[in-house]
Amino acid sequence: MRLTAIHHAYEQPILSGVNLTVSPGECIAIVGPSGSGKSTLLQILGLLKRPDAGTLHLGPVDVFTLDEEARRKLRLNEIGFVFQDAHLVPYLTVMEQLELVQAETGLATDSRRLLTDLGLGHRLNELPNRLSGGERQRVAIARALVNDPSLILADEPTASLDYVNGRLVMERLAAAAHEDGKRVIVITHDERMLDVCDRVLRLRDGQLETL
Amino acid sequence: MQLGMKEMWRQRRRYSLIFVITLLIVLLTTLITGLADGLAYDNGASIRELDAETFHLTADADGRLTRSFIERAPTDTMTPLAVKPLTFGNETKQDATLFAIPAASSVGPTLDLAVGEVLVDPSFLGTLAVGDTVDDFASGYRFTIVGTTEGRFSHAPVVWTTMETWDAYQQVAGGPVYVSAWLGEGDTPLSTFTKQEIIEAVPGYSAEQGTFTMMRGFLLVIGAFILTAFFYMVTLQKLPELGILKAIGIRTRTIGTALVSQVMLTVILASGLAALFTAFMAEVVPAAIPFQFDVANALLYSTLFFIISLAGTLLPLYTLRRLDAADALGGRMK
Repeated sequence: MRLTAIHHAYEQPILSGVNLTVSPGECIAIVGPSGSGKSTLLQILGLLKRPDAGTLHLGPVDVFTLDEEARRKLRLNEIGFVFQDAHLVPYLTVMEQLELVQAETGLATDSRRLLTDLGLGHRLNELPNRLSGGERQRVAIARALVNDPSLILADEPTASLDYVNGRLVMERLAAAAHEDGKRVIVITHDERMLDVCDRVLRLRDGQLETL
Repeated sequence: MQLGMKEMWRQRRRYSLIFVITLLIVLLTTLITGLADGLAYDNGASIRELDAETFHLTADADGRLTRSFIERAPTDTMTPLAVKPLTFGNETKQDATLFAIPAASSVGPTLDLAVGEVLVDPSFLGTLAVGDTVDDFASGYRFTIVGTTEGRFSHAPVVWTTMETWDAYQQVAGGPVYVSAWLGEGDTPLSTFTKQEIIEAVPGYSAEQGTFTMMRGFLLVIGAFILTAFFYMVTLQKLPELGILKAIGIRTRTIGTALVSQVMLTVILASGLAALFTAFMAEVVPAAIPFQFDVANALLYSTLFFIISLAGTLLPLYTLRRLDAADALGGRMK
């Protein structure tokens, strides 16, 4: 995955020539103050937003040249999202959260095993409102992994969790990179979690710098 | 589709509210339809029951049997019908419509009657009984009630008799000797009407049915508006959630199908329950209230409501299609 010369502005420039290359099996943390453009960068990486300028190559293709339907398919098949508050579908059980994605991809991943590996084997038929924050976030990780993506994007995945649960979540995300060969990009404010990542980058003045 | 069903089932408190509102609107529509059908039947039941599809009346009658005066002429192929509203008066006055056909005719009820004898609609009896006599208030002609047979015309009971009695009555009443119509196929210098045209020409029929049709139309549109507004509001409330689904790559069609299936299920269930309740009402309402359950009409209005409601889903579907996942996530992936 290669991000090249990304520029984006709202009322003022927020990204000014961001370059980033992520290799398979690499876990990267991006830090930076509020309003520095971290989430905008993640939306661009997640194909949810087109930048004003720049390219993003997932393999040989610049994804910004693709139409919306092609980008949706890429999001479905190649990218797994983990959001700050898990954002599970409130009326679907833990198992059904994954089945919803599987129904779209047609991929027959063993979702039961995936959830069991994440310590949720006894919660398969529970609705999200009966899960703890940590459990919800682990379901979100399972949902992000169930389509076997090559890239996982996580935006403040530990923000609403205590240290122990936050640590579990970060370690699982790092394991997705180190054990399963995924590319993992995590935006976080929690400095206690940075050590699980291979690289830590700071977004400042619209550009990424290595810490 | 399963997605929509699961949402409805697991959030039944939210969806039961709109279901109840939809049910009440459809029920109101079917009950009004039942009343309209009942009144329509009541208005022209005796015409509807006649075993004849073609009516020959004078051109100036505009299809109204009571306005048509035809000099009676012998014919082998057609059946004469005489219709005249009368006021009967013994102790109390009572309006009814006199229907006369030949005793041997098979187009109406069997009339094995002597001159002066009549069969009356049960609602005519009141304090009277079979065997009693009633007088025409205007002419003083005396009729003898020898039995009952169902028949209504212009919301009034029908008194059936034979042409022999009709002739005898006309001699007493004075005026021209006439019949109101000839029934059946044949060449006449008269104007030809279908049975439905004759029913629609019954005094008050069209105005009455027009009012009901307007009420039903408004109810359908109001119901569809309410349904649309509800599902639009639900869609707006769910935008962040729908944004997440779009962000993770779920097709808009999958989400849209869930929404449409929810509207479909709501309308189908409400229509089915409303039809059942209306059929039940038709069985239990007192005979004095003209109420009828017509399966074809129930299907027609359910289908119309279904179509209007589906059209109403276009707004939330448009909102869904235009939804930008990044915007729905609030500008941040949070």
